[in-house]
Parts: sequence; C-alpha cells; structure tokens
Amino acid sequence: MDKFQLSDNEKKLLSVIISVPGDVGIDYLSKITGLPESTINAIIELLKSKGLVREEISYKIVYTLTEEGKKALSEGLPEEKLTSLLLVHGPLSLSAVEAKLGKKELQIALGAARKRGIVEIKGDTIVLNKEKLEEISSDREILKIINEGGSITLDMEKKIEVLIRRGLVKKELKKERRIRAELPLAKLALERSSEVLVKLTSYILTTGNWRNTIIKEYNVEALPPKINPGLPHFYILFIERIKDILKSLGFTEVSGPIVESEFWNFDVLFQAQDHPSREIHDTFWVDYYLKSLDASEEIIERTRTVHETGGKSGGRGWGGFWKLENAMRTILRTQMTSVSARTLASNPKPPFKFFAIGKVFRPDLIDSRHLPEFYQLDAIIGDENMSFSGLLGAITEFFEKMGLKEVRFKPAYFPFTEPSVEGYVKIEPLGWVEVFGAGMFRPEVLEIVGTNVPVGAWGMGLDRLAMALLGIDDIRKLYSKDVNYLRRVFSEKLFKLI
Amino acid sequence: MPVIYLNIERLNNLVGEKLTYEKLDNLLFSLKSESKVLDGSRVEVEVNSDRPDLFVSEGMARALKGLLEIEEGLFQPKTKESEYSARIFEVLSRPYIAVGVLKGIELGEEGLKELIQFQEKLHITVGRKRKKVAIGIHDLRKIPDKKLEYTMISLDMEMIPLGSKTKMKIKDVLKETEQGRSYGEISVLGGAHPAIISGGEIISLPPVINSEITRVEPDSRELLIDVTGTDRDSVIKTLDLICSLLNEHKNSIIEKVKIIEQPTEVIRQDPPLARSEVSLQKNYVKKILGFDIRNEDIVHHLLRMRFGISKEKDDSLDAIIPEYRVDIMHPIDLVEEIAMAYGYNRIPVKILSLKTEGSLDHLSTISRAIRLLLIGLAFQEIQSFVMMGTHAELFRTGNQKLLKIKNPVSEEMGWVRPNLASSLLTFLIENQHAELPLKIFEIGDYAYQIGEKITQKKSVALAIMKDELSFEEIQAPLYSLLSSLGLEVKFRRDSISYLLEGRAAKVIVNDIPIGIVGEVHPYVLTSMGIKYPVGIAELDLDTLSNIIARKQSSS
Repeated sequence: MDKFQLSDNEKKLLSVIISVPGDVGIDYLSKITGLPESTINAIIELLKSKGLVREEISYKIVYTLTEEGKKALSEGLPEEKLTSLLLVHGPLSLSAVEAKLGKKELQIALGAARKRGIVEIKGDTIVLNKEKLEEISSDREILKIINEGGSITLDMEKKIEVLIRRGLVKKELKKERRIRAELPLAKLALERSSEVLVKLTSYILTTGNWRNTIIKEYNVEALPPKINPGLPHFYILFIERIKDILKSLGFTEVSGPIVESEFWNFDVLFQAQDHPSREIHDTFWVDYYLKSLDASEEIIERTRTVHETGGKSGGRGWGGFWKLENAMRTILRTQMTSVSARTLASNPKPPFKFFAIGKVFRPDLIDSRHLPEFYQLDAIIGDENMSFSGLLGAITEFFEKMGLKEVRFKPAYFPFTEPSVEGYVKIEPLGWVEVFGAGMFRPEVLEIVGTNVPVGAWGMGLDRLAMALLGIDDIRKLYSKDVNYLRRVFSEKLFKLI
Repeated sequence: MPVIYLNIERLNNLVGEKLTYEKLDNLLFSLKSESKVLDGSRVEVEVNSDRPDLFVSEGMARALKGLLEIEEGLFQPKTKESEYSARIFEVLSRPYIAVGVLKGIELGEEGLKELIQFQEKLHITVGRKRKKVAIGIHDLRKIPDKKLEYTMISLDMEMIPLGSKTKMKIKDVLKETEQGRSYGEISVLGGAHPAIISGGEIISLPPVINSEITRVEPDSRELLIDVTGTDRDSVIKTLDLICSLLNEHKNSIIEKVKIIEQPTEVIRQDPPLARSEVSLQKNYVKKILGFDIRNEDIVHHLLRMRFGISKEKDDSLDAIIPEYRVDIMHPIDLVEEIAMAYGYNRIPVKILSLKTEGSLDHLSTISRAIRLLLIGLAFQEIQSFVMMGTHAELFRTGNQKLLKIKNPVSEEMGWVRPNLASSLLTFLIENQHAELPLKIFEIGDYAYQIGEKITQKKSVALAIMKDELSFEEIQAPLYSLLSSLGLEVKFRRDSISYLLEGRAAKVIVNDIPIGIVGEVHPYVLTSMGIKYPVGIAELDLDTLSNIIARKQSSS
C-alpha cells in the first residue's frame, strides 16, 4: 500500500496531529475532529502502519477526591466547623464543643487544627489562633483544584500527602496513549496525498495536473454492480424477421381491426352462419352492437346471395336465409383472414401480394400449448396466373428463407379455400411440425369481395412456429410477465434471433 | 375435427383387402385424415368435418376402394319400395322429417358400436348438436305398426325412454334423463314435443331420445332410420347419407318409405337418394391446379374418388355427385378431389415471378424506430395480452366505456384493455422483486367504446418503476424519444384519472395531442398492489406516424 495514499479521514486526522506541537491524546483528537474515539483508534492504526505517526504510552499521577473529600468540599472541613464555632462564640470548653459537633468530629477537627497550630487547648478551653486560619483555606483550595482537574504544583504535593492520609484524596497512576507525528514524513505524506486521485476529471486532464498526481488503484478484480440493458422482446424479433422475409418476397404489409364484425371475419369468407366455429366455444363475442356495417351495400348483397344460392359464384351456396343481424355481431377476430378479406374488398390491382400479422382470439383454456390469444400470419397472392401449384411454390419459398427446406403437404379443409392444404415442415429435433393452412380462395369468396383473378392464401399461427424454432417448451413463456425471464431468454436465444 | 375409432378387421372386410397399417395411413392422408393405430385391432382417425361420409367404416371403405381401384365410379344403391309409411303433421318446432328402411344389415358388436359413433358424430357436426339435424335408429322388426306418424304430443303422454324399464311421462323424460337435460330444450314448444308414433306407442322423441322398445341390438338385421330437423335439405341429405353408406353391406337393400305430408297429402319416397350433376371445364382444373394434368387423368381421378361421369366432351365433363357427398357445392370442390387423388406431394411446386414490390405497414415502420430508440434508453420490451381483468376499470377515462367480452375464458381476460398503460402496470405487479429502477415498454393494440363508436388503436407505452421517482424521470426519456424522431414537443398540464393531478401532462407535437405522461396515481398503484412509484407515458402510434409521414413528405 502506498503510504502517500490517504483517505479523507486519514488526511484530516494527520493534519491535526501535525498541528499540535509534541504529542496529543486520543480524547483531544476526538474533540477536535468530531470523530468518535473508536474511529480515531482505527485511523491511527492505519497511519501507524504507514509509519506516519508514533504512539507513546505515558503514565501520569492522577489525584481524585474520595467520597469524604467531596463531602468536605461541599460541607466544609471538620476543622472549619470548629473554627467557625470559636470565631462566633470565642473560646469554648471541650464539653460545649463536643455538644455541638459530636465526639467523633470533635476529635478529627481538634487533631487537624492542633497539628497546624490553629487551636490550642488551655486547661479545659479551646482557644483559636487567628493567624493560622489561612492553613485551612489552602487545604480547601487544593481540594478544589483536584476536583476540577487543575494542575498540581510541587508545593501542593506535601499538603496533598496529608489530605491523602486523612482519606480525603486518592492518588492513582494512569496509562495514556499519546500520538506524535513522524516528522517530516507525515508532512510530506499530507502534502502528496492531496494529489492522489480517485477519479480522473476533465479539469485534471486539461490542466495537465494528472502528471503530478497519483491515480488511486482500484480492486479491478471485484465484481461491479449489476445494470440491465434495454432489450427487444425475443418473440417480437422473431415476428419482425418474418415481416422482413415477406417484404423481401414482394409482399406488402396490411393491417386491420382486432374488434371485428362477424361479417368480415366469417360471412365474407363464406363461412356458413351456422358453422360450428361461429359458436361460443370458438369465438369471443364483444358486448357491443354495431349500428351499421363498414361495408358497401353491394358487398353485403353479394354476401347474402352467395350464401343463400351461390349467386354468380358458380356454386349452390349454403341455402336457407342469410341474416344480416348475425353478420353484425361484434367479435374479437378469430383469424387474420379477416384482414385479407378487407384487403381484397378494397379492389387491389393484380398482381398483388399482401400479408398481415396480428393477434387473433379463440376461447381456448390456457395450458402449455394453448392461449386464448396469439399471433397469426395471413398472406395472399392474386394474379391471373395464380394457381395451387404456384401457392405451394410461394409457401416453399417462404420456408426456405426461414431456413426450413423440407415441406410436406396434406389435403385439408377450410371453409374459404379449395383446394385446401395443410403443411408440415421439418424442424429438428421435433421432426415434422404442422405449421400452416393454405389454399385457393373459393370462387364464392372471390365473388363476394369482387376479385376476378385467382387468389392463393396461407395462414399460420406464429406462436407455435416460434416455439419450435426457438426451442421454447411452453407457449405462455412467449408472454412471460417475469422481466428476468425475458432478459435471460433473450441472451439464450440471441444467436437464433439475429 | 371429429375423431373416430374404427375396427381394422371390419374395415378390411368391407374393403375386401387386407391393408397394412402403413398403406391405410397413406390412403387416409389423401382423404384429409390422420390416423393412429391403437391396440392392433382399432385405429383412431381424425376426419375433416366436411366429410361426414368418412365418419364410419362403410363410408371409409367405399372411398378406399376407389383410391385402391378395387371399385371405381359411382356407387349404385340397391332400392325397393317399402311397406312402411309415415304421415307428417305440422310440427312447428321441428318441421322436417325423413324416414328410411334398410334390410340385410350385418352389424355385430363392432358394427353397432360404429353405427352409434357415426350417429353421434353426425349430431355434433352436420346436426349442430342435434339442433339442425337429429337421427333416430330403430330395429325395424320391433316397430309396432307399419304406419308411422310424426306429430306434436302433450308432455303428459308416456313412453319408455331408451335405457329405462318403465313408462315415463314425457315431461319427466325431459327432466330426468341425461339426454332430456342435454337436448330437452331444443324442440319443446308451448307444452308440446315432437314425437314419432307407431301403433299408439311413442318410438322416438326427436331430438332427445328413442324408445326402449325399438332398441337396436348387434344382431338387428333390419333398421328404420328417422332424421328430423329444422332445415329440410339437411334432413333429407342426412338420411340419404346414412342409407347410402349402410347399403355398402353386401346383401343389404334400401327400402323407400312412403311419406305423406299433412294436410296437403303430398307424397314422396324416402330416402330420395338424390344426385346432382356438376359441369366441370377441364381447363379450369388445369388453371386452378397450375399444371398440365392430362384429360384422362382428370376423368380417372374423379372415378377413383367415386364420382360418376355422365357426359364428356373435349373441354368439359359433367360429373355426377353421389347422394352422400354433401360437401360438393361448386366445381372447385371437384378440382380438389382430383388434386387429392393425384396426390398433393406429386403436384409440381411452381415459383411464380410476380412483379410486386414488398413494403411494411407504416405502423410497423414507426414501431421499429420507436423500439430501437427505447432500447437505447434502456427500456425492456414486453408483450401482454389484449384481454385483461378487472384492473382495466382503473384506466378508463372520461366517457370511455370498456369493451366487455361476453364469453371470457376467465375473469382475468374479461375485457379488452383500454390502453397500454394498463398492461404495463399489470406487468409491474409481478416484478416488484426485480432490481429497480425497472424500465419497460410495449407496443400493441387496444380498444374502447366512446358514445356509439368503437375506437381501436395501436400505441406505445413506457413505464419506469423505482424506489423514489420524479416526474422528470419519465418525462426525460419520452422527450428524448420524440426529439430523436425529429419532433418538437410541448407538454401541457392535464387531468388524467389514473395519473396524479399536477404531475400529468398531455404530450403535444405540432399542436396535435399525441399522448400523455405522468406519475401514476397512488390510488391506482395501491389498488393494484404496487409498492413503488411508477411514471408512465403513452403515445398514439397512428397519430404519430401521420405526423412523421407529413413531415417526411414536406421535407
């Protein structure tokens, strides 16, 4: 340890020690610096270890008053009581004084007074020697000085011996720690330590003072306090990557409302009004009634006709009566195809490619595989030459960009597409994972939205795909409410995400 | 999707070939089905709900025989006229009924099990849980009389419900039997219920329960089937479906029952086994599929899928749709049949080169910019649900009304969140043990009702929670965020119900309010059980992105 590196307290104490000529006691240092003696002791040990101060132990005679002495000081010495009687009454007989003072006190008082010649006994009478009265005053003075801790002169010491013998004063030897600065080293250290730096400052750099200073060394091996970075949500990064892939494949992103009418979510997509997925177990209803549909009269009428009779779609429709009031019920959208339906109804010019990613809602009970809301992707491609084989190609191309080279197709059923297909991709170590549903929009749907080119569509839940690709075993973790988990999983999956 | 259990031996017998499981699995794959062997004797098959004909081994066998080319083209049902007849009276709550008879059936234990399973799956799917369509199956030989009636009866009449030994009043059947409790409400009307009566006995109480007296046994060889419902077409189609499929039994015959409608005396024969024809352009098939499938393949694959061809020209053909294929509504459905028979994994995968330019939605773009900046300001991004619990009420402001979900899965998800601030605070509840200060943000959707209208928006909200908090600690990062987007920001004192008065401000850019910032009201914090002060800010992304778009187009 560098002896010139002094803490603030070390500097403070050392400067006081130096300022006192000779040595100094701990009590004094405590009084001057305002530090408790225990702290002072600790700092002195440090200064001693650096060789900047020396500690000396000295022994000192200390006089203190006994209980008797204290009493004598406050109530008067026994001989004073005697002299005071004699001063008031003149010479008194022994028996008269004994009656006043009691036998015991009379003997002490008489003994002390006679020794110094303050009184004499003539026959039976005590006579005062007025010239010697001062002797009593000087004893009193000494008691006072001892009591107040004043300094004792040599002259007093003989008289104190008498007082000790009388049991009024006690004599003790006391040990005392005295501190003395090691000059000139202490002075040098004090000077130099004011130039030891804890932190570099701009001032020190620009003034060049750093050249004359000592920069304090840190324990660089100790761990620092923890700080947390700002991080993106790992699942959002995954979704953003999918958006980028789709953009690079020529798709335009579109969006739509989450609180949706059954019309756009089901009817436009030719889902029969009594289709099971429109029931309580598959759709969330919102306690709100639309006053009017945000759709043109034409599209509403086409929807009615296509549902009831097939209209101009070339099919026979579902039969029965299509009810506008059912179509006007408000729900939380169950599929992102609702956004695709709105997009097609806006009459985009072919060729077109659109995609939408957003939350969809279905009344599933929460467990490790199911949530009542999750992210879904829906992508559509429309062109005069669009075909089922072209759709399979587009899907294959997309997964290839995702790093998934093996795709398997299986016939499937969706109310709004025909031919319909379900797809699996190979994700190790899971094997074949079912990830998407796709198909060519039914002519009934195209008739309703007013599109006159074939349109291929594919949709997929992104939560399960993210789980499979990122290796997350519980769907709830994608929406974790534990900030430490979010930080941890980001670190763990970092290289799969960027 | 319905899951059915089939006996492999029975299926093989119906197909007439011993299929290995692997082969069966592959064939079922082409029929939109997935299978799993259970115990060597049974197979579990997940069937698509648009193919009710595959809910039973008889239908599965018919389809498989086509794919295996054991038997191709249209199935020809064997029919004759029945001695049975049914008079149909006015049944307001359930007006339609169809009745058919099948003889020469061989069920056995396994066959009966499958028949009941078939009936149940039909009830759930095409039957819409018996509301639209319900099926009753009876042992024909136990039917008291050859003349049947379908009519409304009083709830005080009596019957022996299936599974019971004694007669019960109809009102007790509805109340006391399991089926009565599940389906008793569907068709009861004005103190009356639909019933099928024969020889003075109630043999069926559609859509609830049959009578014990006509119970079908494994050795029942003759069946009477009734189908009732609210949609005439579905009722008749369902009877057609069942009769046609059971006619797969080698020596079986369908007997057409004479139906006499009252009071019109209009007569028809059930099941009609009505077939339709669909005209298909060959080029349409090629165009939709996107590859040059040969004309003879189109025909052959249709025959393999058990369709008939009534007429074929160079460029088109007329396909006959059998009575049991209720899913064929449009020529496009035949295109899919051809594709399935061809094999999806044989279809060439084509990469079309379409000249389109990709782009992101402006909200995605602004969200990315904001995400980048907030991460730089050391905020952690989180993801919450749009649906939330009763805490939503704490964040309702002014004349907003929360959107309530009528059928929530739990109370924790009963409302649509009215802003993103509510989600951040909900997140903070769970993170009070984390190191503070905690800084989080979220970008997402929310909605509420105001007046008659629903407002739906996307916003970004940021929050900071720490032991001791000043207004500036949330205001400063917000200010930094907006300044980095090149916007000049003003703050105007505002009153916001969930923020502290005097510590809440409106955030204004170009004289347009775009959001709020402030310290969360202690009432809100304590109501949510949050023990630390929280500063919060929220910005409307639609407005923000409009301002930025305008700024960019003007510069």
